[in-house]
Amino acid sequence: MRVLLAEDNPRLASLIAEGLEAEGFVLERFGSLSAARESVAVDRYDLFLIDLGMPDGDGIDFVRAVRRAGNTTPILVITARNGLGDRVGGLDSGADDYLVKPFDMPELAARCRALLRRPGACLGTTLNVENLDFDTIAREVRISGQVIHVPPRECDLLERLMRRAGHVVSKASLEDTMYALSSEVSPNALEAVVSRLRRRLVAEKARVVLHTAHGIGYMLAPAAQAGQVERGAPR
Amino acid sequence: MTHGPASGTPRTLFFRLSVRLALVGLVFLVVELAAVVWMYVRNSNELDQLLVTAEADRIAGDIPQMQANGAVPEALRQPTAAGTRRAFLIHERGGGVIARLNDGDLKIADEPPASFLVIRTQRESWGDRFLLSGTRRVAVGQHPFWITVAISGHGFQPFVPVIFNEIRFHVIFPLLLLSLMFLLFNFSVVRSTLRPLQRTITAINAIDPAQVETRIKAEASSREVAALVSAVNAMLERIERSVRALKDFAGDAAHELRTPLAVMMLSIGKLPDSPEKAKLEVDAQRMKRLVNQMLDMSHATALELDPDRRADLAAIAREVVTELTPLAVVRGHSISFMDQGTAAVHGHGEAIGRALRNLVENALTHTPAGTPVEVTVGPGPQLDVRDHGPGIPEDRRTEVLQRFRRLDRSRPDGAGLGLAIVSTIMTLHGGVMRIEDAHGGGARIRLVFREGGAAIPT
Repeated sequence: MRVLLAEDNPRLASLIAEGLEAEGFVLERFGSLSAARESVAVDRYDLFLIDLGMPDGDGIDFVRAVRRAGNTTPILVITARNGLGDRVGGLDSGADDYLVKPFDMPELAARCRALLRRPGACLGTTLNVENLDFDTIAREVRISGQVIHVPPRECDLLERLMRRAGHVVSKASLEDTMYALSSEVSPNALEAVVSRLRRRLVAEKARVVLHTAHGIGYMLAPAAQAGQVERGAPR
Repeated sequence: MTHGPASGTPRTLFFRLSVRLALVGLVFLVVELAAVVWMYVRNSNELDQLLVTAEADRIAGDIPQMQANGAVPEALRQPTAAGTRRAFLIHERGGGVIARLNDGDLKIADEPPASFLVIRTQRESWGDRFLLSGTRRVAVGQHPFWITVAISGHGFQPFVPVIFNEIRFHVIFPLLLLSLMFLLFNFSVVRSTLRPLQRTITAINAIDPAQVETRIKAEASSREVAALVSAVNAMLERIERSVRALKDFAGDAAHELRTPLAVMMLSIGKLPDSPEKAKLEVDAQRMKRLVNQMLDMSHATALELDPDRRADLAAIAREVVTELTPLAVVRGHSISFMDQGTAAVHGHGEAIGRALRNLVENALTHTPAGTPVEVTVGPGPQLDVRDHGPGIPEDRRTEVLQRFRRLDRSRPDGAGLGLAIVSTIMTLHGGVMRIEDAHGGGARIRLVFREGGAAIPT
């Protein structure tokens, strides 16, 4: 996975590079937008990591230029800006996601992986949360390496939840993907599938919890560990 | 620049102008007095006539009485001017004598004046001494009388009362009248001059300190007031600039802290696992929250609301709850969301989201693990966050709205900015934040928005 990193603070750039390289990414670092632009013109990357506040210009302009040139490489914008309206501005310019400083390595790595999994990108086919693995091509579920049988509806649900692990997936979007072809969905159908899947995960000793966000949707997260450091939700 | 009296309230402009006008009047009085006296001294003829007329007028007043009893009243025996001697004789039509008064050898020949005579004055002088004689025709009750008077005296003193009388009628009375007109003129001029000034003062007083961009409209009526208005506006401009600089500073500082903080967090992440590392991570998270809140505060204060902007409270609440559920899960809470029906409100969606986010984060921080946090939207234009913690005591509800104020100072997390941010954002929207006790314990914080621009009763 080749990642272009445009970041002017050398200390931050080297920390990001070390962290992502430890996760298996290959990084090319650039301290200015002009250097990054030259490289984009000749090299192929799987992901752009762009800091908006660069010494020789605004990262937003870089993002716009890349998109205008027809380049669909996923872009994750890193910024210290978090004004009301900045987020929308960043995403409007063509960036795929937006990460506000400060952040920690797991958050950054998760965002990068999420972007690489998006359709159109060259992506890994196995989703993983704790001891739970999901092979999206074979549609196979493994817990601690043991393949377990999961009925198709639960399988669809699990895939959606694992793709957004640690985040709430709304009921509406779950219903859309699971019952796209059914004309009538009983209001409790989704709840029933969720509760069956939850029982199955517990029975198979998966170290994950399927949380209910009442009135919103569901979230799959690693089971809480003693002494775990809480991480603020992305903002 | 002049200042009013050092102590007490400064005098009104009306008073000060009146004093100046009175001084001018006084100078005028002195000049006119001098002029009158000088005129009469130069022209003694005029004084002679005046003295004779004064005596005749006085005598004429007693004619009815003298006609009745034939005697001269005691008061009339004394001459008007001190230090003179005086004789008089009164004839009626046909030459009859009504009354006569002689003073020793000063007497008047008993010869009736010609019936056509109206006024006659004559002076004879010997050095310092003088003898005045004159006749005046007066009318008392339709009948003409001729009063002939002779006055002898010396020097100037006998004329002083006459001059004084003249001054009274011809100098002081007109001057009083003039002063009265001056006062009226002064009053109306001051009033009409100050009216634009008053309007300007009203406009200045009406400036909302929170709206630093307000300017005063210039009064077209006078150049002086226009100059004042433009000076005030220039001052407002400078205030606005410094207020903005001050506001920006906190935001800029927090903004600049983000990159070093990111470096710090990533560096901590590289340390081998240990209890120290865990503590550092917690500290870094707190700093992150503080920096975020400072920026939120700075953005909330600087935010200007576009009047056409609409926000969907249900969508905002759903997004905030979705975003905060992972944090709630980590802290052992559950969040629920309920939509009881609401309309779009006039407002800045992201700002409202920040407000709600701060409320939910507060609830997640200040309530025991295992308790639920309930977010409800509606009914109507309101958001409602209810927790099952200790609640906020009624007497401290105003205090928690202040910046950097926390109820429980022993808790290390949070900067005490959360509710201040919420309050600022609600004020911007013309809405209110209400802190209440929930039925069954816990705090209930409601964000009530304006419906159709109506004001919210407090």
